[in-house]
Parts: sequence; structure tokens; C-alpha cells
Amino acid sequence: MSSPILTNRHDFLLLFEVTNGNPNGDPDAGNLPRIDPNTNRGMVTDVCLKRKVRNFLELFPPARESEAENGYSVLIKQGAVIEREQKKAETHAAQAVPKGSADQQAEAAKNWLCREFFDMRTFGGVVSTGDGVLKGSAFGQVRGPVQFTFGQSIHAITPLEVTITRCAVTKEDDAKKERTMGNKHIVPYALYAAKGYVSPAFAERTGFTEADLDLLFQALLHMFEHDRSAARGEMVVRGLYDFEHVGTQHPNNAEQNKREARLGCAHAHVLLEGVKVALSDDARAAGKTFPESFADYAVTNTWTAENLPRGIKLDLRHAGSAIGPRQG
Amino acid sequence: MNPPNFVTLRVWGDFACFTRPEMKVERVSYPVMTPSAARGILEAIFWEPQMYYLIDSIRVVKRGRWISIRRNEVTKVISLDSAKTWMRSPEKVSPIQAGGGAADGTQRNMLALQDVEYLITAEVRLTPLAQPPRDNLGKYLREIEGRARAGKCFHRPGLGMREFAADFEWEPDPDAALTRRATELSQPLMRGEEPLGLMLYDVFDPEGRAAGFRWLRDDELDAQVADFEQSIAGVKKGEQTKRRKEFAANRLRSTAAPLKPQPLFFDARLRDGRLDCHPERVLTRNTGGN
Repeated sequence: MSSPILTNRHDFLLLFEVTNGNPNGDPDAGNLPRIDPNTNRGMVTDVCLKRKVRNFLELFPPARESEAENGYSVLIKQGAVIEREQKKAETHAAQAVPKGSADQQAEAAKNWLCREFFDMRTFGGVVSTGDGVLKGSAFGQVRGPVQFTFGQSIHAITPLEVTITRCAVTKEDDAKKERTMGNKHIVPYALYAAKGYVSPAFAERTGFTEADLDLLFQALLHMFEHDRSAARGEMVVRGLYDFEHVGTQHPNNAEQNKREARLGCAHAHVLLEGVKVALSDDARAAGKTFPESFADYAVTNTWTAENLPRGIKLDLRHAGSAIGPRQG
Repeated sequence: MNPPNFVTLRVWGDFACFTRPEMKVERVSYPVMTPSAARGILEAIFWEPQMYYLIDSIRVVKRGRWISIRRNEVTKVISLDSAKTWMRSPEKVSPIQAGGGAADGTQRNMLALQDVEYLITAEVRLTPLAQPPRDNLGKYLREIEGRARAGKCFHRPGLGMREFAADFEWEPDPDAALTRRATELSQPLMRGEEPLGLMLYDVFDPEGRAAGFRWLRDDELDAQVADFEQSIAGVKKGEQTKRRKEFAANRLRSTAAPLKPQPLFFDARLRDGRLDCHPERVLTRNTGGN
């Protein structure tokens, strides 16, 4: 069965940690972990997170149900790909370009891109609009329903430089040395929070379905498990709080609920701020001002079935449980 | 107090980048939110063809700090012509290769603002498409207020860029809100005058917006094509093809003429923390365009 187009607004909070690794290097600072110079908090860019989602999709593309359904290819790939390999691996559904005006053809091409490519459908993209009257306008912009913000660490971070011995030398001149010294940068421990938003108004335009959203959350939960490397250290998703706006009306009033759920039923910042992250009492009692592991954090979800704003359902995607929506 | 058709929203976010058009490859933000960014936020929350916003002023609660961010981006846009080729022969699809050192990847810097908060005051006006008494100002003002108070939005607004999401809240009185926030943040009210130089007003003339527009219905589009076909019925085949091409390139899909994006600038001045930007005060005919 084909999945319906997403109609409910979602706001989500992603909590992830890094231990002895570099979650996102800063090209401006010799690949040091990104750090906000004003507050010393760590940062992870939106594009870094989106890259991991795309890479996960490339590794585990779901089977396509039929050529008429959404495809799961990725349009913006990482690094140098061997083109021939790509062509073998991917199958796209061919479609005749409709006869008719340039407008209709452009529309058809845009729709085809959205249907075939998961990342186009989810994050959007920029399509060239040629040299006509629309050049430079927003017409070529395909706005995707999913929006990520920068991840920021809860506390300040202290990046360390670690010197390592490389036993495989790179330069011919160093062959006699057998070993050379190298270095890498790590964050001993940090917990990051990133916010995300899903706008159903754009889901309608790109054909983003409820199954696509489930897939996105799957990718977010598992993306670090398939991105292991010595540089990355240990990265773990510690929380994925998905606030779904379902509408405040009686379930019988489905049409009204749908209209309401599209716009949302509560302020996103109120919902997201309801998940509080702070040093745990134990850590404080031990005199720590600085977290050393996730055990030093207390993540308190203050939302319960009683106090959750009406029309909101909180899915704890990392735990597989849900709270709400409040009845009556 | 402001006239009754004015609305004020408080907006804030962790980051913001209101890109200067003269430096748009490696983005550099204006120091303060631009009127077009403010319009974008309001339209993300509520917009209908029967009304439009004129940004009256932007009050600065938190100016934010400068932060430089360098990220991997792609240099390529997706060409519609190649997309058409891919539709016919999907084996020809060539993905965009992003990331460090990849063919289409590049690193771009951005000079953005961190931790900002503004009060946007806008005038709401009706376009000629509004049919009173059904479409009246009161109805739209109530809808805007209702959405802003309840946190409803058509799509998530952003502070200049989509990854810099904005939160918003309704404010009944901008001056009172400015004073209240200054007390809450225990910071002094901004005093004095600061010229910010030329600032982008918007990418089209606000008068173009005043006319309002709506998309043509399918039957109207069909009628348009039928009329055209009738008008070329008598001419030669070759001439017909030529005219059809012209028609396809120039036909309208809405009731308004297509607006060619054209930047308009104004002389921005921050007076006591308030950027005055009502087009009737800050835009004169000869400051626009290039």
C-alpha cells in the first residue's frame, strides 16, 4: 500500500553524544571540532547531520514498492563516486516528458526528481531556472519539508589534541623512519542537541509521505552506527523527541483536525524546551561542573499525558513509546 | 500605540544570516534583520492573496554576536534540462558529488549572527482581490494574532536561512515589549543613532505586491490556450510553431504580471534600537533598482 502524504506538523529534538571523537571538524581551524568562540560550546552543522542521513539511506535504501511509488535514491552523494558503480546500483523509473508548454515540462521534471530522490523530497534543492524572466527568483527553489538546525552542545567543550604514531609513513623520504607522528583532535565528552522541523505544506509539494518521515527518524536513530571511524570516536543518539501535532478536535472531526495539524497546535519552542537537560544531582553532589559521560546528565522529559498541550502527541522515538495526545 | 491594522511579532533564534546581496557567494549578514526577512517570517505564519504586509519597523532586542562558519556546500544546481534527460533515460543520472575534494563540493564561509531577537511591526493592508465584507482587515488581523499566539505556522519561519529556524510570539505593544525584554535580560535600552548604510529593502517593489494576485484556475488556463489556438488558426504551420513557443514562454499563470526580481535599497538607520523601514517613509522612487 502506498503511504499517504504527511499532513501533520512535527517538531523534533535530537540528543546525541560524542566520546573521544570529533563529531564535525571545522575547516577554518585545521579540522578542530567546531566550537563556538563566544560560548565555547561545540557545534555540529545542519549539513553534517543531513550528510549522515543521506549516507545511511545510500547504505540501506528500502525496497521500492513499484515504479509509481517514491524511490529512495540519493541525489547529493558524498565524495568521489565511481560512476559506473553508481549506474549499476541504481534503477530509476523512466517517464516520458509530457508534450506541452515549457512550464508543464518543468513541473513534470521537478516532480520526477522529488519522486525518485529521497533527499530532494525531504530537504529540497535548487533547480536552475534558465535565463528567462524567472532567473534569480525563488521559482527554482524546491523547499523540502524537513529543516534541521545546527546542533549545539549543552556544556562548553574542551577539544584535545592527541598525538599518534603512524606506522605507515606516507612520504618516500620518510621510508627509513618507519614511523612518523601525526595528530588528531577529539572532544573527550559532549552531549549535543539539534532541533528539526517538518512542515506539511511543503510535504504536499514534494510528495513526502508518512513512510518517508518514519524512514527519516530511522536514519536519525541509526546514522552514527554506520559512520564509525577512528576520528569520529563513539557517537550515540541519546534521544529523539518527536512532537507530532494531531489537532485538538474530537477524533470524529477528522477534517478539522487535519487542517489544524497542518499548522500545528502549540509553539515549537515551548514543546522543545519541555525536554530539560542538566547535570544530574549525583554529578553535582560529586562536585562535577563538567560532564564526563552520559551518566552525568539528567535528561528530564517534563511532558506527561496530563500536561502535554492539547493536540500534541509526543513520540519518544529512541524509546519506542509515546505520550498523548491528551483526551477531552 | 500603533494604528489598529498594525501587528507586532517577537522573533528569536540561535543563529541568523541576513545575506548582503553584494556578498552572496560567501555570505555576509547585515548587522540587523532586513525588511524582506521580516516579511518572509510573517508570510511563513500567515498569508493570503487578499492581503499583504508592509514592514513598518524592526526593533532590536538582541543584536547577537558575529560568528564565522565554514561548511561544505555544492557548487552545482540541478539543471532542469538534465532532469528531463534523466526522466527518459534514468541510467544517465549523474548524482551531485558533495564533500571535501569532490567534483561539485566546495567550502564556503558565512559570517552570521548568533543569538538574536527582534520585534517586527508590520502594517496589514488589503489587496484589490479582497471582497468586503467577507474579506475584511479584522478577519485577517484576528487570524494572524490567533496563529502567532498559538504557535501555528504554514511552514517553519527562518532567520534569513532555513537552517536558522525562528521561534515567534505575539506582542500587543512593541515599545512595551522592548522595555520588558530589556528588563528581563537586564540590559540597557539601546540609545542613539547608528547608520547601517544601504540595506536591501526587498527584491520587488512593494507596489507590485499591493495589486495582489492569485493563481489562475485550470479552466481559466484552458480558456487561455483555447483563445490562443483560435488566434493562430489561420496562419502557416511554421509560423504557428514559432508563435506557440512564444506563447508558452510568456503566458501568465496568475492574475499578476511576472515580477522580475529587482533589488530595492534604502538608507538604514537604527534609532534607539528601532529600524524604521516603512516603504512610504524610507523608499523614494529614485533609490530603487540598479
